[in-house]
Amino acid sequence: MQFTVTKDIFLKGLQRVQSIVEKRNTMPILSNVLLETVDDRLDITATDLEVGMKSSYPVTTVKPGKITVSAKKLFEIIRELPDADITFSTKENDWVELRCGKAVFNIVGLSPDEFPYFPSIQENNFIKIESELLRDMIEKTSFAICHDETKYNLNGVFLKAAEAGEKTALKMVATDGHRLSLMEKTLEGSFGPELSKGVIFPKKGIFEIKKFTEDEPCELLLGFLDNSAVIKKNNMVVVMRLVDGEFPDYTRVIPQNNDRIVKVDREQLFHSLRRMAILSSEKSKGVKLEIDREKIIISSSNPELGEAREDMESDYDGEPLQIGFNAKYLLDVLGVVDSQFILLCLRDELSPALIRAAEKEDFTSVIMPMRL
Amino acid sequence: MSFSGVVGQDSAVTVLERSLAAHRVAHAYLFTGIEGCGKRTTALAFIEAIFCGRAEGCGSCPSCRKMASGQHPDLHLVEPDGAFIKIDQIRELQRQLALRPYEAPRKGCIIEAADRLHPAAANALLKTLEEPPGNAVLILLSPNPAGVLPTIISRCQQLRFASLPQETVERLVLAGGVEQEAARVAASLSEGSMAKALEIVNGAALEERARFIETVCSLSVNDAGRIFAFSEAFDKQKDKAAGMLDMLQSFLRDVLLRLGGSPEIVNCDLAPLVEQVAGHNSLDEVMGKIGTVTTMQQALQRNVNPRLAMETLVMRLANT
Amino acid sequence: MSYLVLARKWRPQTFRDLIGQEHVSQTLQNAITSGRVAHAFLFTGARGVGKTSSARILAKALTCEQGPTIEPCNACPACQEITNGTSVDVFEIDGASNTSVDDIRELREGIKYLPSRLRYKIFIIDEVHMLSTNAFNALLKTLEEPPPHVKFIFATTEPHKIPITILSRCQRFDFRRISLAKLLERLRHIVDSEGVAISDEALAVIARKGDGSMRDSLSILDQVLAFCSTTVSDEDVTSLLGVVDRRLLHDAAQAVIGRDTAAALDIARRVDTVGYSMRQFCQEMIGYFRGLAIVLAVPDPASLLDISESELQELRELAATAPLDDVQRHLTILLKADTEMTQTAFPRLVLELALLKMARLAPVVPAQLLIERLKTLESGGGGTVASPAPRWESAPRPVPRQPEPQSQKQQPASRENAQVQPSSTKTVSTIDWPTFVEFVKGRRVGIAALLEHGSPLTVSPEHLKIAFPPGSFYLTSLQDPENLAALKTMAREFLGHEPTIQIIPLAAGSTAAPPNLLEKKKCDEARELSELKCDVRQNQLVEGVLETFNGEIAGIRKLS
Repeated sequence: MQFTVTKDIFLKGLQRVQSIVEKRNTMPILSNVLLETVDDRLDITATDLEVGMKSSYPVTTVKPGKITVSAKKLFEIIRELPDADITFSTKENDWVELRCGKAVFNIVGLSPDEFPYFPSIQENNFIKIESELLRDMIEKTSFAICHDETKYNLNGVFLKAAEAGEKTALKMVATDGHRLSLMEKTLEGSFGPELSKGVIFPKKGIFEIKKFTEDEPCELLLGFLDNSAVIKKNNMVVVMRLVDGEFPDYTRVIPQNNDRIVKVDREQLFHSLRRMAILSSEKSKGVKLEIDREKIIISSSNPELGEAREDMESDYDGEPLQIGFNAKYLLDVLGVVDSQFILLCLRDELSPALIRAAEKEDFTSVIMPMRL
Repeated sequence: MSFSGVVGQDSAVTVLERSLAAHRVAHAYLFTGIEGCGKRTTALAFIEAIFCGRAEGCGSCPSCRKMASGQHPDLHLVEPDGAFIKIDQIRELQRQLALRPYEAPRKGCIIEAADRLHPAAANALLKTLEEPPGNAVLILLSPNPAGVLPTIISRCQQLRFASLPQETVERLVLAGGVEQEAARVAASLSEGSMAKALEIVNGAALEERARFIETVCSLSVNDAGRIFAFSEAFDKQKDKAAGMLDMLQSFLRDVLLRLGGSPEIVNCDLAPLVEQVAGHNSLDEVMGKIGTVTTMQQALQRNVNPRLAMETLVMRLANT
Repeated sequence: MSYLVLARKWRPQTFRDLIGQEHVSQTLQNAITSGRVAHAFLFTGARGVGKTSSARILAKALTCEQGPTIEPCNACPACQEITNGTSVDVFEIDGASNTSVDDIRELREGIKYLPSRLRYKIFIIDEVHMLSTNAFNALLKTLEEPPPHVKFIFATTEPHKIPITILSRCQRFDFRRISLAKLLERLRHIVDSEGVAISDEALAVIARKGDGSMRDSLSILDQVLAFCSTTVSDEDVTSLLGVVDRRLLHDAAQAVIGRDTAAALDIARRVDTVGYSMRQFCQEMIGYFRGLAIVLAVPDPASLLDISESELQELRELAATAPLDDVQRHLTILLKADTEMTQTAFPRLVLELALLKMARLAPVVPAQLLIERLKTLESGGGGTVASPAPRWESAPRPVPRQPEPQSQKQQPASRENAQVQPSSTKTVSTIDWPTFVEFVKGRRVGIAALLEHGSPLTVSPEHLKIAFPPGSFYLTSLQDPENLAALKTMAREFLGHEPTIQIIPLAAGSTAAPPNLLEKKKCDEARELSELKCDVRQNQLVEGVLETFNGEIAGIRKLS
């Protein structure tokens, strides 16, 4: 194989994959990137078997072929090369020669045959999704992901689609058993059997996708292949293995008859809770909400530190009610909701609470109260 | 690495082949049998067949080629890190198993030396072993099932691997280009373990062993100087000392069998010496000597200075 | 869809399906009916008898949408989620992976939150014995007064590792090993439902190998089915499971009982050729000899042995040639070999040694016979008794060593005539002090201990005069009338008549008194050591060592 490429392009391509390559040394080849030229295109592929990334760049191909080389070393070399065209060619026994200006590097590679299989992507059965919309969904759910590794089926976000007339309703859910957050958006296009059954994206993969959505807005394609999810953006493809487990039936966790609805100013409640949380216990951050028709009293106490209380106006016309929460759980929700008022839907002091934005219906959060 | 590469384990291989054919592959197996009798080879062949989706791995598809080079992303190998398999290794495995397979139809996992699972690691494995996430196949290997937690054994299908017949070992060693006589002795000393037979042949240990045994048998209590000089050679040579003790044990066993009236002899090249020692010792004395060797083997395992162990051994065994 | 092993497919989902643990189901069901469900349970028992299954059934019974009920419906979403392990309110925690105090603190925080939709939040902690001591302590408070919405179910195979403080806060249920009959019944039900043809005998082999554990039995059945598919022949089962042929066991037992070493060694060879595991063979031998022992010891052995009439007859015939004492000694050897096998790399040698030892076992002469022989000797009649056992020597009764004359100390006159066997039947004309004290020790240890401190001034059959340091505890204790009376009674027993006994204070400054027994013992030991030293020095090898290394002897220890 032989090709010529500009330094800028090659460097950019290699930089992208640095976060993917394997740090732990289970399979030596995973610390390498796969370089493959077809026509006048260079594909750079890296994977740690959980998340894989493949991106394509324009080059001048002299002779097509493929090889793997250490991702880190190649990146370091390219970074230090002068701003000029680089000629990359393979020699016998998987050796690689790099020429740029007067510099020549001969580096060892590994046979591309041993590189893990990267699925080839066909573009049918993909659903289209705006990157901003996907970022919004991830942001509003991922904080509730469970971090206890023994509950592996909760270590990620659950994605499920359903038909909504002509369109597709896409739901993203995360829960750790004490709280749950759910985003629901309608999109154009159809979806395959995986999404209609629902899939679990691993935590690590979800954060890689989030990075993806943080660049300039564009359209993403989401599809499935074997046991992996595929996200495509322009010249880049991310593939991630899905969690092998079943997500609990979250619909049954969402309370249906919470008819005591309090409307509160989001920002005011957010800051008040942050103040009250200072004197709540270190771990469970318990705060008490006493709600009646005139006001909400938020209070906390800690036998070792003291106590605090604050009241704020409320919009409520039901029976008075007292309920305890972990302040952090409320704050997590209030931190991501983007509306001026939120609705706190309650039933009694022992039933799950439901939180929504007052103006939009796409976001739902459920928080279990605690006994104080 | 296909089933045809497994020698002398017909019954175990048949069980696995039939379970593949009947789609009755369990999720957890325990393969037991002495070191070097083919457990690992069989486990790899079994997983290769599962990955390949055929009754036997075809050897040529990408999956089989990756198995052959030990690079298959869906095969997870766990082996002792030092003396034990540690709990962190099991946690890492569980993390890997939580994801769906990379490209194979199921995930495969081989845990070597399951008797050396640290108790915490073994207990942590129980849940996974009973109900592994998704569809994984876990194969535990152990030469010493007595050292495996009963709660682990109870969750596995246990397959016994027989020791290889002496003729099989001899044939295989011969095929490796070893002289007839050496192959025969190595096979008879191997106790049915191919690994051990090769170790004996390759280590040029046969000659050394003969000299060792002859020396031990000739030393007398009054040879203080010789005894010390002899033991000196084992200073800081734990493995060598342990190897020689095994050989001596085998020789003394021959003497024992000779006196007990059994025609079988393992150390056929040392037959005259067996005869001679049998002539000078009673059955009880030989049993005592075997006991002494066993004690020293255990002492070596507990990291007693090998030179000291040898001294003690030779003094106790020396002719009075 | 991948194959689900039988143990998982047939995991009991209702109390009714739970085999062999009726005492547990009954109690739990009664508790549910009466509304008195405890907040913490501990399920203990061997592997695979139904602990985790019961925990799940109990969780379902408590949270079923139809419930709380004595049998879960297994149809409502709550039940199904627990069965699938996806319920958000039932936490199956692996005690082995969450052993630290931090894990328990985490759990303690978790219980504060109310269940998201079930009646209770249920924590099932498996392998709970793996928790660290600190973790257990962190649990204590919670276990004592958990919030009303929380239930704990602990399961373990090793209840002895659970601190007593935890035990006392749980309702404990001990799960039993499942009887052969119940295992068989369940296995039969399963093979019939699976459409498998298999004989009762073959099922019995599987169940026996399952050793009281349902999961073990089902794992074995799975393996058999993988091999044989839907028609299972008896031969396949025995060869597949490596069940040791009873003939081989019988031959082995006959060889050792018949003291045929060559045949015994041949057994080991046969075991190896057939490919049985040495350890398994050893264990089956233990079972076989247990059978022999039972046949010899019990008039109706059939109730204790799970074997056929012909097998029983075979045991009876063999038992006729071996006394029970011998069988027990064989068992001891086998049991020792069994433990040794767990540590050796060469199990065959261990088996061979054990078989050889058994084949060369000296016959036991019954104790009763020995006593009778002794009596004949004592009464002076009978002359010599030829022992039918060539290698047997009766252990001599330990006779305390005679004190050597000490040059600087005067010896009591009576000390020269010693060697008296105590006897209650005739009068003894002489008395030896150490022997007498030894005799007292056999009856009243306390008094003997006191006597050891006394100097025997006069010791004769008629008169005992023992001196103690004035004002000492020994003196006052022995002068106590009760002790003195006891001493007199013992002296009468020893001598056949009652001597006069004097317990007096040792005259101050008296050096002429003979040494007391403790002093004498010390002297004896010192002398023995010096003799040993002398012997050691004369040893050629030691001499050589000392010379070569210019060393000296630091100490000498007797090997026992």
